[in-house]
Amino acid sequence: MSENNIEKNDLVSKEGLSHKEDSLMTVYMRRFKKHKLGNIGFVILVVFYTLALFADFVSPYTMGWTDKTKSYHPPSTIYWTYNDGEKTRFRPFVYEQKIASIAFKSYGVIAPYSFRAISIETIPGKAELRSIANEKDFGERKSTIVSDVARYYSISQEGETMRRLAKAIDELEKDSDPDAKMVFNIGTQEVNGKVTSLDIHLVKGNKNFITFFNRGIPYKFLGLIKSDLHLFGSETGGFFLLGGDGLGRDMLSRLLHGSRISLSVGIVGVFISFIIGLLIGGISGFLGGAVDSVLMRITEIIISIPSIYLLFTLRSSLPSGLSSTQIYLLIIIILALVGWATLARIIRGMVLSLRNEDYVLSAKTMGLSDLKIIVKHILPNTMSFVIVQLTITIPGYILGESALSLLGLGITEPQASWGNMLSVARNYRVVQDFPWILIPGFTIFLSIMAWNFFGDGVRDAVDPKSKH
Amino acid sequence: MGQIDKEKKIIEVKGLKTHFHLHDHTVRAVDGVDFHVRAGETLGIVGESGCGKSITSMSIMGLVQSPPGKNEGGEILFHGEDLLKATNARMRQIRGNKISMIFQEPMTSLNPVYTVGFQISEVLMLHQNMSKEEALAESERLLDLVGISDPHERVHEYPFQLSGGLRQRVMIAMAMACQPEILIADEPTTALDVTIQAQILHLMKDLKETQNTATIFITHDLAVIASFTDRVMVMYSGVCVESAPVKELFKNHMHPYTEGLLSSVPVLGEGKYDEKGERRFLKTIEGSLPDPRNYPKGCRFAPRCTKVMEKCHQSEPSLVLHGEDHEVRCFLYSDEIKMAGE
Repeated sequence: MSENNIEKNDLVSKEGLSHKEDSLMTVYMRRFKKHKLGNIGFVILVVFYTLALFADFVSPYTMGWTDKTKSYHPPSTIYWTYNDGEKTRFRPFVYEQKIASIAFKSYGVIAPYSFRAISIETIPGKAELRSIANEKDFGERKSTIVSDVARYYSISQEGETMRRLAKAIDELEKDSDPDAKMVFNIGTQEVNGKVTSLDIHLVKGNKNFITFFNRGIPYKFLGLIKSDLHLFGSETGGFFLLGGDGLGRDMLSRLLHGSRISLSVGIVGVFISFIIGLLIGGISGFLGGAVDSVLMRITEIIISIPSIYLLFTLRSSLPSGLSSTQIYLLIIIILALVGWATLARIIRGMVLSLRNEDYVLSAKTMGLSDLKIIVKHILPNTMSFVIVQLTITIPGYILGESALSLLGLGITEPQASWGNMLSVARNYRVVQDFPWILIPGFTIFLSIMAWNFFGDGVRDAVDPKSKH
Repeated sequence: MGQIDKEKKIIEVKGLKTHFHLHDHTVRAVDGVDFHVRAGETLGIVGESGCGKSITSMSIMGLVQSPPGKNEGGEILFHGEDLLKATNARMRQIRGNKISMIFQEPMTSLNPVYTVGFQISEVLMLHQNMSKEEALAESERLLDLVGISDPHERVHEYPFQLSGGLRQRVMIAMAMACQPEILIADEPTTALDVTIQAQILHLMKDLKETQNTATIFITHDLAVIASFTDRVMVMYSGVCVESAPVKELFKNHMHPYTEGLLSSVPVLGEGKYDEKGERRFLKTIEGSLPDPRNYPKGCRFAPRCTKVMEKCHQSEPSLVLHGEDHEVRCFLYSDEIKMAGE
C-alpha cells in the first residue's frame, strides 16, 4: 500500500498525462472531407489518373490502331439487349457502320445480310484486313470475301486454304443465329523471326458484340508486362464509343493514352519548377542582401516576359525532329523553366518571415549549419503552403502543354496528347461536322477544374485560420 | 568536482561591445560589459527591457545578426579561447555542445513540423555522432530526466500536442542533451504561469546541481534571481552597473539603480496603508532608459538618479571593486573615472 503511494506521488510530480491526440494529418483530412467541391475534384482526379495509369487496359484499341475506311466515325450507339431468336438477353452490341457518302458526313448502318472477314491483329498499329460484302446473293458475298482475303494475304484463290475458307463460310451461313461469327485460321506467318498464327474473324450480320475482359490488340502494360487483355471492346471491331478521328483512330483509346502525357506534364513539370523555386527562393530569402537582390531581379525578368512567347521562343530554339519521349521531356523542362519564378518568389517571402522564427534561432543555438537550417527547418515549414500552391499551379502546366501541342510545337503525331488531338478543331468545318473531336477539350476543362477545386479544398484544410 | 575546479572561470567576458550600425545611426546595445562565470555557478543578469541583456547572450553565442550588428571590441574567453575570433565552423561545434541556450518562448522555439524526439535527436546526432536509434533512446532518457511522463510516447509527439510547460521542458532537454558547460537561459520562465515557473526553476536547479552546469540566467524577475542565482549582475544601458553575490546584493546593494529596482517590487501582504495611515504607492524609477543611439554625457543613469551629483553629468564612473566580490559603477563610492576605450 505504502509503496503504491510512493509510486503514485512520483507520477504526479511529473508533468503531462498520458493521452493520444489526433495527428495533424487526421485534422487536415477531417477538414478536407467537409469541402464538397474539393472532394468532387479529388474524385475526378483519382478517376482520371487511374484511367491514365491503366490506359492500355481500359482502352479498347491501341493509340495507333486505325481503320482507314472509317474516318471521322461517329460515336457508336450501344444497344444493351439482343434477341437471338429464343429470348432477349443482356448482350450489348453496336451496329457496324460505313461511309455512305464520300463527303465524310453520313454514316450508314451496313445492311443486315452482310458478310465480313476481319483479321485478328497480332501486331499493334499494323493495318488489318477488313472486308465487307453486302451483296444480296450469298454466292456473290462468299466470292467477294474469298477474293479479298486471298488478295490481302497474297494466297492463290485456288489453293487448299481458300477451299477451306469457302467451306467455313458455307458453314457459318447455315447457323441459325443471324449474327453468328467464327474464327478461321489461314496458316502461319513469320514476323521478325517469330512465327504467329493468322486468324480471321468471319462474321455474319452487321452487329459487333461488346465483350468485357476480351482479348484484343496485344500491348505491354506500362512497358513491362505483356498482355492482350482489354477491359471492354469488340473482337470484330467497328466499335467507337466516343467516335473516331480523321485517320480512323478510336478517340477513346487516344484520349486515354493522351491523358498519360497531358496529366503527367502537370505533375512532373511542377515538381521540377518546384525544386528550382525552392532552392532559389530558399537561398534568396535566407541569405538576403545582394544575393537576394540579384536572384529576385532575375525572377522578375522571367515573370515579366509573356509566358506564351517565351514558350515559343524556347521551343523553336531547341531542335525539332526528336522522338516523342524527348519532346515530352523537352516540354516539361520548358514549362518548368518558365514556371519556377512565381514559386521562387512565394517561397522567398515565406522564408523571409520564417527565418525570424524562434525555432530557427533555436536551431542556430544548437549549432546547425545554414544549409541544414534552410533544408531541415525552414523549407519543411513552407510545405503546407507550397503544396497548395502546387495544386493551383498544375492546371497552368496542363494548359501549357495543350497550347504547345495544339499549335504543333509540342507532342507530335502519332503520339496522342489532349492538345494535339484538339489541333484538328482549329478548322471550324471539322468542328461543325464532327463535334466529338472536341471531347479532349472537355477533359482538359474537367481536369483543370478538378485540380483547382482540389487545391481549394487543400488550402482550406491546411489553413489554420479557416473556420472549419 | 574539486575546489580548484569550482574557482576556475569557464567563461570570461571582457569589455564586450556590440553595436548595431543602422543606416543613419549606431545603436550601442552592449557597450562594455565585463563578467565571468565559474564552474557550476549561476550568474543572474537583471535589468530593464532594452538594457542589452539578450544581446550580451547572443554575442556569446555568436548569433548577433550581422549586418547590422557588429562586435566593436572586447573579448569572450571560453576556456581561454576568444569566441569573437572563432571561425563559423568552430562556433557551430561549440553551440549546442559546449554552450547552449533556452529561450523565453517555448511555444515558438520548437519546430512545429518535427516530433520532439527528432529535434532532440538532431542535436545528439550532430555533436555526439550517435546513430538515429541511439539518439532517440537518449532523447527518451532526457525527456524522463526533465520530468515528462511517458517519455516513450512523448518522443513521437509534435510540439502542438504539448503544453507550454512541457515544451519548455523539451527545450531544456534539448539544451542539456550534450551536457554543455554553460547554459544560457534567456527569460526561460517569463512566458509560463507561476506554478509551471516554479516547476521549471526547480528542474533547472536540479539539473544544475546534478550536471554541474554553469548557468547564465537572464531575467527581470528579481524573485527568480533571489531564489535561483549565485551571483547577480545588474545591467543598465548596455553596461554593468553593479555585480555581487546574490545575498550581498539583496542585503547591501550600493548602486542607486539597483536600489530603485529592488524597491519597485511589490511586497505581498504589505497592506494598502503604511504605519502612519498613509496610502502606500509602489515606488518607481522616474523616467526611462536613455536613447541608445545617443547616451548622455557622464553616468548613463544620472538623468534618473535620485542621488545625482554635479560630476555625474561630467564623466562616467568606472566599475570598482568594493569588498570581496562586489563591483559598483558609481561616484558615490569611488571617484575613478572610466577611461576612454575601456
